[in-house]
Amino acid sequence: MKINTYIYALISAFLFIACSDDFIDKEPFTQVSTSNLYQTQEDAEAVLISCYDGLQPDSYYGFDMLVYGEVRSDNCFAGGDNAANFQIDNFNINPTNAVITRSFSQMYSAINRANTVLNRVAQMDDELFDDGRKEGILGEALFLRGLHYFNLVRLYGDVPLVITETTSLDPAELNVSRTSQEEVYNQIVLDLLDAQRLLPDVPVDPERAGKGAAEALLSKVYLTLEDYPNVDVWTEAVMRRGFGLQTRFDNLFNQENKFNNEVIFAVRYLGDVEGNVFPELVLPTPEAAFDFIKFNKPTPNSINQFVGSDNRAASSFVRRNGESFIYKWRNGEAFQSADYTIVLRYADVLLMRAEALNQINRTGDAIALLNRVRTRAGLPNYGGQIDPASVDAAIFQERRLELMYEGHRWFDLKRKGFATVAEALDTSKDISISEFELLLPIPQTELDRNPNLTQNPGY
Amino acid sequence: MNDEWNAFRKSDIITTNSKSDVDFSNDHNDDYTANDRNNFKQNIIKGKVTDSNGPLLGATIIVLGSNNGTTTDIDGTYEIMASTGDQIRFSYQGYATQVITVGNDTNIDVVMVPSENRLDQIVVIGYGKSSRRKVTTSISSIDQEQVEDKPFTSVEQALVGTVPGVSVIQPSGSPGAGVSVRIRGTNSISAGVEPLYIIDGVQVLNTQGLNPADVKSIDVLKDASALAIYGSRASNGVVLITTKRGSSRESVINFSSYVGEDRVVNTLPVLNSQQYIDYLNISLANAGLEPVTDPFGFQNNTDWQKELYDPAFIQNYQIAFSGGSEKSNYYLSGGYRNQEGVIDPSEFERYSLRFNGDFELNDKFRVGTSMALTRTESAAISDNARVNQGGVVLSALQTPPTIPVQNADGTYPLNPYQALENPIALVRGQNLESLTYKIISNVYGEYDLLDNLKLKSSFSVDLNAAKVDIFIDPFTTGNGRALGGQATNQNFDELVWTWDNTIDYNLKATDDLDLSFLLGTTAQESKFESSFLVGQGFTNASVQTAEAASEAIDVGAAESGWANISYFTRVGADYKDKYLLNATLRRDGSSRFGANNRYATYYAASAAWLISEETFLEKYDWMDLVKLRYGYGTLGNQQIGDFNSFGLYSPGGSYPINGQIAPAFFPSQIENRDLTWESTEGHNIGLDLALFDRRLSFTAEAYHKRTYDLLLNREIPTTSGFSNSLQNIGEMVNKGLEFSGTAIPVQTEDFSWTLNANISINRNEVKDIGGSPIFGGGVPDQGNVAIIREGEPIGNFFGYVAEGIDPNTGNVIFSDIDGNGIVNESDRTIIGNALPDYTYGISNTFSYKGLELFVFFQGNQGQEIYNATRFELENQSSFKNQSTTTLDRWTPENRDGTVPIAVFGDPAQNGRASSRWVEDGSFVKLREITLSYNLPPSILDYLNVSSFKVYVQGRNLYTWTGYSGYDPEVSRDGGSTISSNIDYGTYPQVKSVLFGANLNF
Repeated sequence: MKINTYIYALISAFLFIACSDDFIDKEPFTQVSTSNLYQTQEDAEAVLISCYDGLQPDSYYGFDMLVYGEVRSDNCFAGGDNAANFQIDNFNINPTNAVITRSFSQMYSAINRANTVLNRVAQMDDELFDDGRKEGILGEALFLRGLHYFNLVRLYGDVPLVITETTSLDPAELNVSRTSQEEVYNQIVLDLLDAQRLLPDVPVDPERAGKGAAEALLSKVYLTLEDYPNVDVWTEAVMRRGFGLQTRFDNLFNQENKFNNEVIFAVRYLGDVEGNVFPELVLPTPEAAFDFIKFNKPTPNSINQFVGSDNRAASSFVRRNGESFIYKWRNGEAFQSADYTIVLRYADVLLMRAEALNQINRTGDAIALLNRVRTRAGLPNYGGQIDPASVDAAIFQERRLELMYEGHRWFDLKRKGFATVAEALDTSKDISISEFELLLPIPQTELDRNPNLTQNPGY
Repeated sequence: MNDEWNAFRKSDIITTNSKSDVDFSNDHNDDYTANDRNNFKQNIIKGKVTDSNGPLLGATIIVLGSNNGTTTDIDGTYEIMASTGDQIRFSYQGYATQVITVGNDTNIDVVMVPSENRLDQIVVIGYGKSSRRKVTTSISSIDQEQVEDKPFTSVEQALVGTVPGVSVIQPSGSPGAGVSVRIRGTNSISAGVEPLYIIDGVQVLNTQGLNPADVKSIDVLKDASALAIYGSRASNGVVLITTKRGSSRESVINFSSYVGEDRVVNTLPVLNSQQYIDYLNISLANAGLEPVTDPFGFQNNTDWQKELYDPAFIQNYQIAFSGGSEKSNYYLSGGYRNQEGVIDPSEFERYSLRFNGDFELNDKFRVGTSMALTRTESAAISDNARVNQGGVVLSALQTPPTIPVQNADGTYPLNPYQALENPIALVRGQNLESLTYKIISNVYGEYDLLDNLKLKSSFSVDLNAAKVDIFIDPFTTGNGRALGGQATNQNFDELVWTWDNTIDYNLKATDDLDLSFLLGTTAQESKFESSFLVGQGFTNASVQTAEAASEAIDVGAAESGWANISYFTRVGADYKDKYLLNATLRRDGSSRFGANNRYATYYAASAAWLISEETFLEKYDWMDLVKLRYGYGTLGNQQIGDFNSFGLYSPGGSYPINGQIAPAFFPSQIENRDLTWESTEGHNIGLDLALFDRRLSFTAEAYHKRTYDLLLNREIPTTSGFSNSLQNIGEMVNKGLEFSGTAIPVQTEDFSWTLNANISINRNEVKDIGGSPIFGGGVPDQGNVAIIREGEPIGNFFGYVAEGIDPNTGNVIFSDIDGNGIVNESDRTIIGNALPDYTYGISNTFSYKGLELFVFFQGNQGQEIYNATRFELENQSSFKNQSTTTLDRWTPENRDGTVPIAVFGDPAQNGRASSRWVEDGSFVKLREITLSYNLPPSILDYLNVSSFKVYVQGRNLYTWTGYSGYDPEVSRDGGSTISSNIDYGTYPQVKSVLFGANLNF
């Protein structure tokens, strides 16, 4: 059978008419591929925003940080009906505990966002940015990375130190081993010093970190490391930034004045989809929409700390039908609250400075700072013994009262050592713990995924 | 013989022509009469070939042992030269072949009867057709009769129990609920596992909207050698659906309708008011808590299931016009279906229109179209969730009987001790409605370049536009009041176009060898868009759109898309009608994979040996067909996200800046340049038998499929900032056996009995998932109850082993598997499996004159069900009502109770994920029993109709099972690969009784 040439030609044309090589090249539409991002300052800012967003979920400052800070301490019981929270309250935490699992990964997710900004923005052309904004963006990311690692190292001890953006699925790159606490702290200090250098004196927006935030966090890191001269240096720096105490303590929490000059850094919400779940979890009705068993319930021990004319009591907890609830948030809004959660505020800085100065034999200056906080609380000046140990104890007690239920207590107890923790828990909750329980277990799911990871002793 | 073959080829060989009634008017009759060697004392035999509907055009008539052959014309008439004593064979696709010996009469009229055992029926294969006899691969088919006049919402339901190797998961009784289909097991873990559906040659996204009444046949391609022509789209099998077309005969008007009633299969016994308060007080006392009283003073004893479940009406109407002429044919249909759910206000409604037509422009050029437009609207209720999350079914089971449905003031009482809604408030307080418009349209042109060389080009679109509206009213429920009412409006739009170009070439290489070639390309592109709007704050419930809300709290939009390009070829060889060989090669490119790994090549080969054609079997004339076949092929899967290979930043992760929401992008996916196809290779061996004048036919098949480079959503260390990533890791094997057969034990003029049976056995094993297990199937308060582990099948349930109840404490004793003296998380083990050992279907058709009785049983042996509904009903830990089985709870006086001690809060965790909740889910269902009557000709003539069938049908009327829940066909997570067969407040299945009629004018 003879087939003419034209038939061959026709067939070839017919079959391949539709085919061209770039037909199957598809670029994402509503997502952006890595290679197409970081073209403008707006691109860099958009990724930086997501670094802040990393603070918001319930697996971080939206709930769990306040469980670690308070439910592990003598201030709060777990409350609620969540078995994972009961384990944290009772110090019988399994490595499969859902809370310790989710917050570990949330912190690293936030770290990777910061790492991404640091890697990519550093490579962008300076001319793409408004004056100082490139430095500002890098500074904000460094501050946030420092904060995440500070939280990780205090909760889990030695942790994998990842300071580069994840770009490969190679197990050699993914299976990171743990780094000693000392080295992690070195990195935190490096990050915060860099952040302090790069950040603007006044944040470009009130929700962002400025130099003051980096300095306040540095102070806290140095206080944890018991490096009191450096606490002196960096708290003094904060004090030059124009922050101050609110006249009325309750102004900090009535949520009507969230941009006051006492707040150095806070996790911010707007309500609705940009909402904070924590207030609904802890508040009674009618401040909350729902009437379930609430979380982070104050211990009687914590309530009994407020004595005399301390005006902070009414701002810290509330009684309803014989039950007590924490009260430093005020609007439940069915899990869509606009209430903020403060991370660093000026009274904290004053008390950190007081504690450090007392340690370096400036007890008189320390007492003066202590009295500034007491005066605002409606309390008389400190009238106890003025030996450094007594003053230290007084400052420590003042920290508890001033920062009650705000997520600081566990970390304050822990940096004072196992004996302090054990005594506090014995007194308030009648439970005894072992020293290994100062650290959380490394999540079992992480051990399963990463053969180079080891568990904390005791778990 | 050769010319016989030549004629036979016309009807049997693969063609890409979608015309089922192949037109042979341009056949060259010269071929048949050229050889006059045997024209010895020949007469002209004339006659007419008809079927019950009238003349058959293009029936093939051959004088056996000669070169004489012809086909019938438009009137069904033929003329052929034959001698007295010659045997003339009459054949027509889909009809039983008849052989008639020429006697003295030169006029032979033949009435063709549709072939019962389908061995010679036309089978749709990829990009073509074949006769069942010549198929070399594993293809199962069902025809119109198994689809029509049955109350199927979707066409997949016709595959339940009728096609070996195909399992259909009908996860709930919700009207219009989606079904899942698995062909020969589950082949993937993270990528898609549903088969590819092709309707009249159009690759479609799903069969949603297809009116089953328009379906003519369904062919299921099962083995790799059959599927390789679809390469990357086909690793989960292909379901080819052919819709009805007009025939070049008289015009027919068909009207069919049924109406009926659905009822819930059964109800579960729960405690009455007194028993409920007694239970609470025992449970509270055992936990050291204060007793409660009934605030309503035992005035009420509400049966919530009775309040919730109502008989539901179902109605279906279809009218179709079909017909044609020598040069064209048409089929035009309109259908309406309305199915209420047994839970008000769930409902499904569909309007459908279809036009199919083929037109012959000249001897060489044909065009045609298939067009369908459907509108489906459905209302759902919230199921598969605990009461706390608004689950209506669990609310019906667990709301205290002590409260009334509604208070005197019209408000809906809650559980008095816990703010949980009653089921009537839940269904009335929330609307879940969806509306889908769908257009599937195809236009083709076909040109005969040479007699044996045909070009075909076909362009298709699959257009879907869907809208989902959810409204929570601001008054009825507590959640609604807290939100001030909430409306969510979502819109989805997807357009897929497909352009297929094929060339068909048939070559008679030698007298004995016939070759066929197919060469083709397919280009496909999809564009998807979606948007949503959420609004809160409604003053009333009259306007339910998000725009009417006082504040819009969330908006969003997304776009996506993909493109595929494919080149394929198939070569077929047929030697002496006995030895058949097919080989396929396909190259696929997909936009979904990394630029370096976008293309893949698939290939297959299959062969069949028609042993019955061999001379050594000739003496066994009771053997009509003995065929042995084998095939091997490779396939791919690309059912993953559109952009899984990219390093991606997604919009989201916003944060308040300057008091406003600042938009953000966050890193959402690690780049994986190596991402490539998931591959499957499969072997299939099959034996087909037809015996005793085809009174008995039987098919047996065995297969082995290995899927490797699994597209696995692997968990990675979260220190990376990500928790998982799609990677090509792992391997899975499915192997199995299938047997199916048809027997006609009795066949007399008035009475016949036909028996169909099939059984399928599939075994799955996960060989490699890169180490650590994959968990899933989370149940509130129990955690994950399903697991995938290497060396074991998918579908495993995971938990503690419950050994029984400690007579001293009333607590459940759990096994200390690792023997370390304490029962903790490391004592969890495999406690059951959702996969059946085998599934089967048996149907009997008894016909007596116009009367027909059809009885169809379908069964599943060995599946297990994780009954988490029973966990909620027997846990005795809360203020929720419990099952009557808890009346036999352990108490100090009833130490051999079958249910553990009731303690509020369950401090001993008796309710933890354990073997307590795993039940044998084996069942046999009386799927269908239908009695139908075809009115006799006397009445038909009187009514002036050509056929009139009336019937009464019962579906799922009885189920034999040991399962304690509503029904053993249940799956909270639908066709989930990880967590199938979890019963958790799932919308129960229904049983139906229908009355119907089917008329042809």
